[in-house]
Amino acid sequence: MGCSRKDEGRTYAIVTKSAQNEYNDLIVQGFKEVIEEEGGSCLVEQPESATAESQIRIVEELIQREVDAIAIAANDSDGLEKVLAEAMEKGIQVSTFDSDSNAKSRKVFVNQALEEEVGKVLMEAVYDMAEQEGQWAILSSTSQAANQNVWINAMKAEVEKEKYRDMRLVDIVYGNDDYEVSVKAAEKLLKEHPDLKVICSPTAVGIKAACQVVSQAADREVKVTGLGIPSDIAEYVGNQEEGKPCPYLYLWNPREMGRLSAYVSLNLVDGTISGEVGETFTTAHNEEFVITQSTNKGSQVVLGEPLYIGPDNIAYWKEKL
Amino acid sequence: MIGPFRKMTKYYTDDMGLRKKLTISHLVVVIIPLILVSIFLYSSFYDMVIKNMIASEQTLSVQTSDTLKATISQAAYAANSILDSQVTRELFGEEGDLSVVESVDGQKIVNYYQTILAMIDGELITDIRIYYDAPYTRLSDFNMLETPVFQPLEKMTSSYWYGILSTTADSALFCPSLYLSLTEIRENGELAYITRVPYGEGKGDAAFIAVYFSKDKIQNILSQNITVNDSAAYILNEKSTLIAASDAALTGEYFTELDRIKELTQTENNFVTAPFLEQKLYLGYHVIDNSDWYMISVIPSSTVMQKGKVLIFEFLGLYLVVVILAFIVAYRLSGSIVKRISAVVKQMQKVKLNRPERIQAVQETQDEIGGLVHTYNYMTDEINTLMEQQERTAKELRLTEFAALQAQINPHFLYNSLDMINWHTQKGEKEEAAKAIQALSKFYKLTLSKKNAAVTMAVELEHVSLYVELQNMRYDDKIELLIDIPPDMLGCMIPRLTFQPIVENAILHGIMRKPEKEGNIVITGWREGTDLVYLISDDGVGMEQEVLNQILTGEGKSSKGTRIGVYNTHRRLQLLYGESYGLTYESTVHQGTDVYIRIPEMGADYEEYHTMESTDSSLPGSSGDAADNGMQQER
Repeated sequence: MGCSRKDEGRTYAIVTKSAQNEYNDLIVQGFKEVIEEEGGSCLVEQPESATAESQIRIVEELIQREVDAIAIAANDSDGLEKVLAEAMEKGIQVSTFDSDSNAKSRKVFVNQALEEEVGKVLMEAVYDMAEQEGQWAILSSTSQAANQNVWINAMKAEVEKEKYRDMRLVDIVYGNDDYEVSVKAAEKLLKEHPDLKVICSPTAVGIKAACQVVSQAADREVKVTGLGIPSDIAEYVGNQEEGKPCPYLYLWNPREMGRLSAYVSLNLVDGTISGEVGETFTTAHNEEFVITQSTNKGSQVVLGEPLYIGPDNIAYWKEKL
Repeated sequence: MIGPFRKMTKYYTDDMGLRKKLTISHLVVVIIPLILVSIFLYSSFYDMVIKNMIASEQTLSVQTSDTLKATISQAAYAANSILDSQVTRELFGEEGDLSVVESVDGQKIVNYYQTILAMIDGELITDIRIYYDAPYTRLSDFNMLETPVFQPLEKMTSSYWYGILSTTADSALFCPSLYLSLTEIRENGELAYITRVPYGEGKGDAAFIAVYFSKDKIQNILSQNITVNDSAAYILNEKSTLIAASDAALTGEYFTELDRIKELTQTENNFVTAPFLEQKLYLGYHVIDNSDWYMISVIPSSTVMQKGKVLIFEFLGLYLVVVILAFIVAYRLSGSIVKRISAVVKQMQKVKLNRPERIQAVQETQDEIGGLVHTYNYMTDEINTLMEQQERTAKELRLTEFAALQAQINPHFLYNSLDMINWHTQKGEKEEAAKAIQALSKFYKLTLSKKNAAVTMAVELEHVSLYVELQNMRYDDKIELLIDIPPDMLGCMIPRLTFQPIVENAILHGIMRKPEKEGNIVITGWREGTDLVYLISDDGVGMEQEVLNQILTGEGKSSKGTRIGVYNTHRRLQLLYGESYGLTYESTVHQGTDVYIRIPEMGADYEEYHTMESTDSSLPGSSGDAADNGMQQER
C-alpha cells in the first residue's frame, strides 16, 4: 500500500544505460525520491559505456552486495540474460525500465509508453516535417539498444501505411549516446545524403547533437525530431524561420518513469506483485497501475502516452525536465 | 645449510637400508629427468595448447565462412538467375512500354512464375518477390494465391532497403532484418538478397527481385563454428548491424563493433585478445566473400585456459602414474636384491649364537650375490672344518697328554725304583736310599706337576737327569748322560715330558739291549732359523729299518710299552706345532740311535690347548724362572 513500508535495511538498486546523460539522471531522481520516501536505501549505478559488458559487471557487484531489487535499463536485450537470471535466482527482484531485456531476464518492464504509440507519433512527426515526401534518416544510440530497436521497429510498422509511400528512409546511424560520436554521425548524414530532409533521433543525446549540427549547417534545411529532454533541447525548438531545427519533439516524464520504477521494485520486494499480467498496485499518490503484456511476451507497466513538446509548451517543460 | 645436507647424504650413503636406498635412487633417476623436462616444456606446452586451439578455431572459421559464403550465394544466385533470364530481360527491358508487357506471351510468364516458385525450397530460400514498377501491373494477374511473387513496388518504397537502393548506385543488397519491413520479416523471411532490375543506363528501376532466406539456417551454420563452450559467432555487416548470431545471449554479452574488431586484429582471421570482465576474449573476423558481411568469432580465454588446464592435469596425472609405477618397480627390483643380501646377513648374524651354517639358497644364482652366498658357504665349510680339526686336535692332545702322564705313572719304574730303595735300605745304605727317595720325589713332583704345559729347557733337563739318575741307581751307574745345550737355550720352552720317554726308550731298548748293558746318552741342542732342534743320541743297539719305520707311526709291537710313549711324544709335538715338527729317528744297528726333536721357538701356543694355568713360581720351569747355566752332567 501507499504508506511507509518498513523498508529500513532494504536496498534498491537502479542501473541506467550509461553515465553523463541528462535523461538518465532525471529517471534516477524520481527513483531515488520514492525509495527514500518509503524508508529504503537507494543504490545508483551508471555504467561508463553503453555496453552490455559494463552492465554485467555492475549487476555482478550488486549480486555480491545482496541488494533486494535491481531496476535496470538494458543495453542489450539478450546479453544480460545470464546475469539477470542469476540475480533472480538469488532472490533479487529484477525489473527493467526504459529499455527492456528479453522476457526471461526480468519480472516486469516499466514502459514509458506503448511502442506503437511512440513509433506512430515519431513517424507522423517526420512525415509532417518532410511535408509528406522525401528522405529521412535515423540517428540512434547503439545498434543493440533494446528500446531504440523497439521504437525503430514501431516506426517501421507505422511507415508501411500507404500514406508514407513517398518517404525514403535512407540511413540509420549510431552515436552510441556519446555526444561527440553523435555529432560525427549527424555530420556524416548530412554529407552523404544531400537531399536529406528530416533526422529522427529517438535519444536525447542524439537529438541534441543533430540539432547542433543542423543549426551549424547554414546551407541546409534539415529538420530534426525525436525524443529529447526539454531543458536540454529548448534552444533548438522552434520554427524554421527562427533558425530552429526542431519544430517539435516527443518525450514523457523520465522522473515519473523513475518513480514508477521505484514503486514496481518496492511492490515486487514486499510481494504485492510478482510480475504477472493482470496484477495491480497503487502508488503513494493513489494512482493505480495494471500489469499488461509486453511486445516480447513478458509483462509490463505502462507509464502513459508520449508527450508532445513544441514551441507552445517548451517554456513550461524546460523548467520541469 | 650445507650441514644438514651433508648429514643427509652421509645417512644415505652409509646408514640407510639397501632397499630404501635403491628405491630412492631409482626414483631419483626417473623423477629428475621428468621434472626437468616438465619445467622446460611447461611454458611452451601452455603456449602450444593455446596456439593449437586458436589455430583450429581459425581453420574452423575459414570453413564456416566458406559455408556461409556458399549459402548466401545461393540466394544471390537465385536472384541473379532470375535477373539474367530471358523473360526478365524481355519483360523489364524498356521503360514503361505497356505494349511490350502485353506482348510477352502469357505462357512464358506462367513458366517464369513456376521457375521462380521452384527456387523457393522452404529451407534456405523462404520466399521470392518481384516488386514491379507501375507499368507492370499485369504481372499480378499471374500470382497464385499462396505465393504472390509479383508485387507492386509502391508497397515497399518506404522500406529501408528501398531507401538505400534508391539513393545509392549499388546493384544489389544483402539485407539484415533491420533493412526489411516488419511485414516482410513476418511473411517472407528474415534476411534477403535484393537486386534491382534497371530499365537501362540511369533510367531508373523497372523492378526489384527480392530473394528471402532463412536466418535460422544461417544461425545453424554459425553454431557449427562453436567448438568451445561459451564461445559465440555472429555476423555483422559493414555498418555493424547484427545479422545473425549463434547465441543471442552470448553475442549480446560479447558484442563488439566491426571497426573495433578490425582495429584490434589488424588482419582477417587473426585472433587477438581483448579484455572482457575478469577474463579475455579471443576475437577474430572473417570476410564473407561476395557480400558486405563479416563473421566474428569470439572465444573466451577462460574456456581456452580451462582446456589447457585440463590437458595439463591429464599430463600431470599421467606423470603421477609413471612416478607410482617407477616407485613400484624400484621397490620390487631393490627388494629382489636386498632380500637375498638380507638372508645372507641374517645367516651370518647367527654366528653370534651358533656355529656357522650353510645358506640354503632356493636356487643357485650367478650374480654377485650368488657369488657371495657361494663364497660364504665355502668359508663356512672351511671354518667348520678348521673348528672340527681344532677340536679333534685338542681332544687328541688331551688324550696324548693323558697317555703320557699315564705312562709316567708307569708302575714298573715306580716298583723298580722302590725296590731299589728297599734294597739300599736293606743293605743299610741310608744315604743311598735317601738320595734315591729324594730323586724319586723330585722326579714325580716334576712329572705330576699340574702346572704349565710347557716348561723351560732347564726344567726338562732336570727332569730327564733325575730319571737317568734313578735308573743309574738301579742299573749301577751304567748310563752316562751328557748334556750339551747352549746356555741361551736353557730358557726356551718345551712341552713337558718330551725328553723322558725318548731317554727311556734309549735306555731300555738301546743301551740295556747291549750285552755289556752300559752306554752313553748325549743331549745336545741348537737353533735352526726359528726352530729349536734337540738331539738325543745313544750308543745302544740301534734299530732296524723296519722298527725305525714303525716307531713314529705307532704300529708294531711294543714289548715294553715305551714305543707307545715315543709315538705319543711325536704325536703331541705334531699336534701342537704341525706336521713338520716332532721327532725324527736315525739309527745304525749296533751303533746307536739318534733322535732329533724339532720344535718352534715360540711354544706359547701350547698354552691355548690347556685350560689350567700355573702361577706357582716355586717350581722350576714356571714363568719367570731363570735358566740354569752351563752344561749338566748326570750320573
